[in-house]
Amino acid sequence: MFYDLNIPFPTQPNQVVQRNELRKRIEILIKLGYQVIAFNHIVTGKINPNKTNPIKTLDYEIFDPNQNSRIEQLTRITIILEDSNQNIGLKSSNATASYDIISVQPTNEKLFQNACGTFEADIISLEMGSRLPFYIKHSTVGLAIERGVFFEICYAPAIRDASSRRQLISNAQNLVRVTRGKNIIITSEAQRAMELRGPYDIMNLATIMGMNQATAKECISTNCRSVVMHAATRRNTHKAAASFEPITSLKLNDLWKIGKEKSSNNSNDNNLKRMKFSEEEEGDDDNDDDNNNNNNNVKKKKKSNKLRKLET
Amino acid sequence: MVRLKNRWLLFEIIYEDTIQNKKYEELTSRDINSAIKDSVQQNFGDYGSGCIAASLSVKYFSPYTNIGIIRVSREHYNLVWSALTFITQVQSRFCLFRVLHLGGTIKQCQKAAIEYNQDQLLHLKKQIEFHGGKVDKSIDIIKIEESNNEIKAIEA
Repeated sequence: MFYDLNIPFPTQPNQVVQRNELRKRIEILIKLGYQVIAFNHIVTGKINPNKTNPIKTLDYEIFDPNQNSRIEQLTRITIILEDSNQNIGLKSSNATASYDIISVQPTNEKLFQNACGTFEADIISLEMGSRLPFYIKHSTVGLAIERGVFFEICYAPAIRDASSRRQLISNAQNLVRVTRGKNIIITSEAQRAMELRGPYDIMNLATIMGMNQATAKECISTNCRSVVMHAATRRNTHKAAASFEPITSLKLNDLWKIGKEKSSNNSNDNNLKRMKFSEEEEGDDDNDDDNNNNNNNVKKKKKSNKLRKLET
Repeated sequence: MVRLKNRWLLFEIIYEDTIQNKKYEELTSRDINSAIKDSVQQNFGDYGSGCIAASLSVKYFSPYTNIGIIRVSREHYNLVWSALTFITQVQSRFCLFRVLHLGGTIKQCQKAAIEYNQDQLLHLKKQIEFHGGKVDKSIDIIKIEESNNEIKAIEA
């Protein structure tokens, strides 16, 4: 499984030219053998909380109907951080919740430190096609690696022109040295279809950036998968320990978990959407409200009780 | 005496305009050779050019199926491969290179090339089926079979 987690989404997707270009890019991606891609939407500064995800994924049917090659499409937001006082509110904002993957692009050392240490993001992206305004330090990067946040190298600038190629190779070698090859993903950031390259070509390219072949392969396969899983746990679970599902989604032979026999299938709490537990740990107001509403239902659930024991 | 060991790269060219455009001339192996040498010169300088000058040769290139085979000494295949990756146009026609197979002997490369041709044939047949036999692809099929024979005839 090969991943390309950075396909810039056109700014005006309704325009025919841009739409065709996007389609062409995806056709080439399928041809090159990628299976998961993420459309990237770039935002500078503060996110407008009312603005929802503008990315519309494409239908598989528009591609060659002969090929039954399916490509998974994800959405991603990249927030360019400029002001250190800026309240980014990554977690609370509705705007970010509608994206699959969140990435941040710090522009100074302070923000880079914050991004590595505290921000709730999945990817830290650096503008590697130009000179970085700060040094990448091992102590800072170590924080990010500990938290399972990944660093991104975009290879398209290197294909576009020679001066960015120089910068990119230098920056990438720095990053690889500092991270010791851990927690790096390689993505394309291709504006045009001809800037894409095949997965094995990228692996070879990564070897001239100072990685060995095994780590290079991880950068476009398993590491990207970790990013997607990291994003999923951030979105769907509580402290990456437990997730919520509606009771209605339970299979017949799992019904014992809510204290019911297989025969008595018609449950009364169909309208229960989510269950919440661990009231003590959740400080937010809206979550407390949720807890009160659902408390009665929650107590029926043996599963949740088990999990609560595990947590405390 | 120590034997000179080689690596064989099977590559494919993907063009920006997928339809066979008449205004471009068909590429030859010499065009590919000079494109690679230019790219090595640009990216790896005189040292890189010197390293590969003796061993690099384009053994086969078919302008029809857009695949070709390159020989290069084993020490410097990384260099040639990355030079291939950085090529954006050949004879002012925008394209991208994609390596399909990397082998230690030419035999494996020939095998991989024929396999690739076979895949293309299957794809063509599917297309004919899909259009209900209305499109004529007999020329394409003949060309692929010709290319198969050519590949089989390559000698190290």
